[in-house]
Amino acid sequence: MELLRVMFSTVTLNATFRMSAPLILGIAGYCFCRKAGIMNIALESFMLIAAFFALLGSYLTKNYMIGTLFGVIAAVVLAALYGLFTFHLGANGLITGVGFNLSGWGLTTMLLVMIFHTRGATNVGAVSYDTIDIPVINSIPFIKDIFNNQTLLVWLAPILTIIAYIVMYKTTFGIRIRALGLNPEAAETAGVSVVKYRWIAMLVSGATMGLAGAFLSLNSLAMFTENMSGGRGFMVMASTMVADGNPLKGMLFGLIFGYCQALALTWSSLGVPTQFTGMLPYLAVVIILFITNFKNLKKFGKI
Amino acid sequence: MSENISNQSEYVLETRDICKFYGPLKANDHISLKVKRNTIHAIVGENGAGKSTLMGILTDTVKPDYGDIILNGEKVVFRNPMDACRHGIGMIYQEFMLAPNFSVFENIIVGFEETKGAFVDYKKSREKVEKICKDYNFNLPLDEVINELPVAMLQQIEIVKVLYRGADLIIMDEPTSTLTPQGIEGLFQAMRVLKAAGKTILFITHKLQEVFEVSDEITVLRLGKYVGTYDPKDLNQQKLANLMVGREVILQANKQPGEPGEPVLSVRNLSVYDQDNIQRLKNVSFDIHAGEILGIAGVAGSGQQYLSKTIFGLSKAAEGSKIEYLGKDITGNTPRENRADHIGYVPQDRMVMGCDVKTSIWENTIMGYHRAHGFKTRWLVDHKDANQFTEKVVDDFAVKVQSINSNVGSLSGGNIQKLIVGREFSQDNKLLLIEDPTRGIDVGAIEYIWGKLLEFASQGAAVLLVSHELNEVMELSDRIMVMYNGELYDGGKYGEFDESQLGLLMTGGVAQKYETIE
Repeated sequence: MELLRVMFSTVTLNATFRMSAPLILGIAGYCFCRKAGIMNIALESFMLIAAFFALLGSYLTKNYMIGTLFGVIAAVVLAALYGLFTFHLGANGLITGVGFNLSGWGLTTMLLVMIFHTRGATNVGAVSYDTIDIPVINSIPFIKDIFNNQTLLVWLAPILTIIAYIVMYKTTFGIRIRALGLNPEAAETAGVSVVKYRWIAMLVSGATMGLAGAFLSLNSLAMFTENMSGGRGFMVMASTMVADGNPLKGMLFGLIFGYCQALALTWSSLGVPTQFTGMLPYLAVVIILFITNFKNLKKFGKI
Repeated sequence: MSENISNQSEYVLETRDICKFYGPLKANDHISLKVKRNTIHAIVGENGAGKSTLMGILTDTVKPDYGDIILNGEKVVFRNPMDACRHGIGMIYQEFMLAPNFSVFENIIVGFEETKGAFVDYKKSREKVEKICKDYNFNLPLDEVINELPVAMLQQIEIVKVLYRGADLIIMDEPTSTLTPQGIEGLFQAMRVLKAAGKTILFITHKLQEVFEVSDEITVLRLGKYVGTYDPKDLNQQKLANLMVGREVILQANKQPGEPGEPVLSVRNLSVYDQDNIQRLKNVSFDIHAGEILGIAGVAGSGQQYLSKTIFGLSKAAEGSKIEYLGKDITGNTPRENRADHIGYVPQDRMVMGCDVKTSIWENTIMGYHRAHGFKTRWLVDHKDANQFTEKVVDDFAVKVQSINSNVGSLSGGNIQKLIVGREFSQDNKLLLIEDPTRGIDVGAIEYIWGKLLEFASQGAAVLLVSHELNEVMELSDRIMVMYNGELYDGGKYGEFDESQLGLLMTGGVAQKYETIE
């Protein structure tokens, strides 16, 4: 019973809002890639490496904003590398992505040991985000427990989503990027430079993955642990694919995954084995992918 | 003033000595032509005559090696495709340049949106599109997603699109290749309206009949060279065909109606549902006899392809359907079993289903028969046998190849089709299912394949010919059936119905449903 009750408790919902933020941040940018027809499985490494550099930046400058900037720059550089490999050098995106993800893990762990002499850096002296107290929200019961005292990055997630939505559906950039994903040749004949727009989408998704990475290492405790992104990059990818590049729908799926992660936390505090609760978010990915693709199952075996 | 006008209005476009060489291949060899303002100017030629290259140069998707383009009396050099567009050259491609899942309206404006800052000014763009539709008499469902719209409508969208972009000279590349006779009539109507409104149209085609119907002038290209520009009144189809090919061509298939033999294939109550559970074939029944060519005409998407695919085993027949081949029930047999039973299949999409463009010619020639008819020792491919067979097909069907070890992708479309047809014809097949055997290939190759097909049938094989080219069905078939909305209608024996009667059937005009006499 207790397990059911916490499913709707403010603690869980508060954590949902918080934990879905890195996913939603990533989704807001990756939606442009999706619409432009770019499949990028290296998101995981973008997030992980950004998380590390955000921590490093914050550690060096004692400023979480500059730390975040470090993370964003790291991810944008990675996006540029990935773009260079796949758009211009003809590399296979899948293989490049696997390479990025594995090297990302290795690189961050190596740097962690080299710089901080540890495999899990906490309390190294980096500064994390402050929470924001919004008086208006604070006066509303229930709501205040969910939304108040969150950090800037958490609030940035829905804000970026709305901006992404407006850009996607109301601007010339949006209509062109959607057109070129559907039929690149047609876009080219309409004077839309496919390469240029793909580059923009790629770099934008790099930047938002950078924010997502900074969230991981700087949002609550300033810390970094080996492979701390833990598949969130893939969740960003899955959510965006299921939402077909619509940022608002993407946010919905981000919230669902965030909810599962939050539930995993609250349940494990009630004594549910962590081996089980740890499964929840990933199980949710599988279930959502299965449900959204269920219609394809019926087509199986027919032309 | 009058001087100015005559200067301005006589020729809208002139090319001088346009050359484009790809290695030793002269795609365009000193082409100089003049297009009169406010005319419909046809450009005809076989595949490989240089039409596409020339159009590519005019729209700046191909850079010329040499030569000038003179537009409205002034020499122009395009820096990029958009430049050509800004100069008022609009291109309508054979493959429509439309984005699926986009609305008609979005497809028209994308890339050339009216803007308010970074935002699209939907209201202003909309007014502009609506005005064009009104001025030129197009009735488009602007808010519908294009996916389900008929081909003729898509083409109108393309036309509105180039007008929206401000085109003055409109180039249409093989615009009729996907249309029904009625759709073609509609297109010609639209072309005449455009001409009346002062536009100039360059109309690229290799269908001779159409040339005479709409064009004011005809330019013939052959092997990259300019042959001449003619007044349609001075030519007829036969003369034009000879000019295109450079020799005498036989345009009719010269069919000798023969006596059909025993039934080879009997189809009874065949129904097929597609992946979305839409019924594509509705209780279709018919027989094909030995030595007979049964032609299936119909508008694309009427269900014809489900017919040949299902018989061959590529899609599943619904409960209660029966397909009998030489007295044996083959319903639900796999393509492999069917091949072993001497059933051949030439799919419509030759590049994807008919061959593998990335493998060699000899591999493609034994493809599908590598199990059914040998070409193997117990475990390994017998190269000698396979090579001999390939040489035979290549010789018999006049496929122009450099080496049978080169990739199929290096051959031209016509040669690939000859190879695929050759493969299926050389296997002692008793039944041949063939879809659009001459789609997109040139007059010379069509003539050849038609001849081979008639020869093949006269040796006693049964042929099911599914073609979107009505003329082809009419020339080759002993018996014609028209498929409309998944049902078969009687289209008469060879020469019984004319084109307009069959065209009416194809679009669901009144007709008697075809019933087999039991």
